[in-house]
Amino acid sequence: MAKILIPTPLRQYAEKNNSVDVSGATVGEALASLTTQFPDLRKNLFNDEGKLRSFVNVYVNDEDIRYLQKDATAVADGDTISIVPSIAGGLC
Amino acid sequence: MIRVHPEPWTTMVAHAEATFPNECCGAMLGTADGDDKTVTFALPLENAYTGGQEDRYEIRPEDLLRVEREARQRGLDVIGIFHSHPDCDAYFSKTDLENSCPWYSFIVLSIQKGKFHHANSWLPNAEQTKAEQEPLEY
Amino acid sequence: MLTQEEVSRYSRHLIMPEVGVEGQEKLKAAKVLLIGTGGLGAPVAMYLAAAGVGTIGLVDFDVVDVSNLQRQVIHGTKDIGKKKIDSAEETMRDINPLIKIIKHEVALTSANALEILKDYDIIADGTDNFPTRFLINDACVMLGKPNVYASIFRFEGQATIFAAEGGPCYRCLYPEPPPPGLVPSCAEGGVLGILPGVVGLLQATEVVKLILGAGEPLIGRLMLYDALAMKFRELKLRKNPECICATGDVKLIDYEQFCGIPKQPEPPPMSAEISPKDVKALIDANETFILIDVRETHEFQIGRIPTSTLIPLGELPKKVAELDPSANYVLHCKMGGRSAKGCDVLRQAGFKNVRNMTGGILAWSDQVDPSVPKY
Repeated sequence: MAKILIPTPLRQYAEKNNSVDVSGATVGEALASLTTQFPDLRKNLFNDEGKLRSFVNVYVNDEDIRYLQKDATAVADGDTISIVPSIAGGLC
Repeated sequence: MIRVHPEPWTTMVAHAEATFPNECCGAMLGTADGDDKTVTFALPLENAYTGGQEDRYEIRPEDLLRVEREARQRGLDVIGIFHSHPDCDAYFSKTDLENSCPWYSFIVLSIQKGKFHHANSWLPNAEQTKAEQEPLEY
Repeated sequence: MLTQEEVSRYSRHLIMPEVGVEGQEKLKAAKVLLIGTGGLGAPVAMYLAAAGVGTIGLVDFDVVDVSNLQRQVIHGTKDIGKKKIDSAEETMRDINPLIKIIKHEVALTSANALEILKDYDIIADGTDNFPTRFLINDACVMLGKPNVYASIFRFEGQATIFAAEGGPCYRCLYPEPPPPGLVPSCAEGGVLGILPGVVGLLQATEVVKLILGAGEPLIGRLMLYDALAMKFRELKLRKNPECICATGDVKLIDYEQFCGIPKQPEPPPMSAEISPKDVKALIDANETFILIDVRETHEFQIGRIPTSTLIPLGELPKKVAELDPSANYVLHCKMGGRSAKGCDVLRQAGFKNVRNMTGGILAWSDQVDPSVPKY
């Protein structure tokens, strides 16, 4: 079992849980497990093509999965998965 | 409605004025009861944008991950993100909208000639096509 | 946990991922002991205070002298004559009121070193003499605490970290102290006022890195700085397998003696005393001794012991040269206080047989001769 930490604004779609235990051997499977338990999270995390939305980053422990094996990144028991948005902006 | 306590507000304004004429950014921690949000702690973050920072900001996801951790340790939630608009109004620009995320409140501080002028809070919609103004109290 | 006030103050630290909130909290939790608040201690104390090191201990017992101000920038002209430890605290508090400062107004000795050092995480040696450096090193080795070390002379400085886990100690570099007098102190050899600023901040940098666990600490490397050439060089330091830090055979010793510094003469035993009755007995027995009355002339005129000689206490130092150091002396005054001081004057001049008459002439009047008026 790995643990996914739910960012504050998304907890309303996850029955107010701040973390959710998920099964799955990879990040992709873990996220699928999460959105199966809480279908309302799906549109917040994934776009219509089923890909992670552009501003959503996923970390396994301290590592960004983009620099690991992305969706296929292995998840072990006791790992912590974090969902972190990327944020930028500016004038004009 | 979003309320910012005086101590975090002082930190936010000081950070925005200190980074002038560049944009600053940071995270706001506090509590939320539905749409009723209270900011009790503000944490300045590094503007990680590698080009000209006078009109752009970027927050590293790693930094936001650390913010999440800090919030959990304090028993607080991440309520929103603040950034500054140097010599410009506190509106939510197209760049802001497209590069934001719909999960948070976004407070924009207008800094005119190095001094705080006014501020607004914004809530991007789920599709990031427009942002609604949120009542702000500080 | 950081307060909002601390977040504002340390924001330039917090926005760097290498420090961040976590690192700043480490700095806040850290306890660093600075030994000496002179040339090296000054910049270290000021910058560590500014950086938010939560607890800073200071060890010093000196007072600020005008000749310190050329380099000890933590003290100012208004502080001349003040205790360095108080002057340093004032400056640090002004820089950062959010930290805790602990003052140890003592000379570090074998007797108190372990007790003082034990509560700190990191020790910074800013002293200027060999006995104290060996003492700090040995105490750090015993307690397993890193000693962030620096030294300065004229235009050159050195810095390294001793006694860190797995690293060498000061004795690996210098197993024995140099003969006394071979290495002049800054007072004798001079020092460029700016030099301790540069070298002290190398020390401060290493302290902060140790706390953060960031970068490559200066362990096993001796950094040499030459201000005239403006060059940094680095020497590799190795742990000596025969050194006490490797064998574990370490205990605190007499470092003054170890460094060949002659012992201060033993303080004289607290004034040997004699009662008025025993003085009378000496007189009656015709013993050879000199009885000196150290009161003022007008007191002497009120009443005196017949065989006594008047030398008022204030004149005694001038008269010492006229007295025979090998003779026996008894000193008295009205009640015994002034004559005790008089005895010290004579003993310091090398007189061996000096006694104080207890209770002074008042006691003489009570116990021996009531015809001597009391006043």
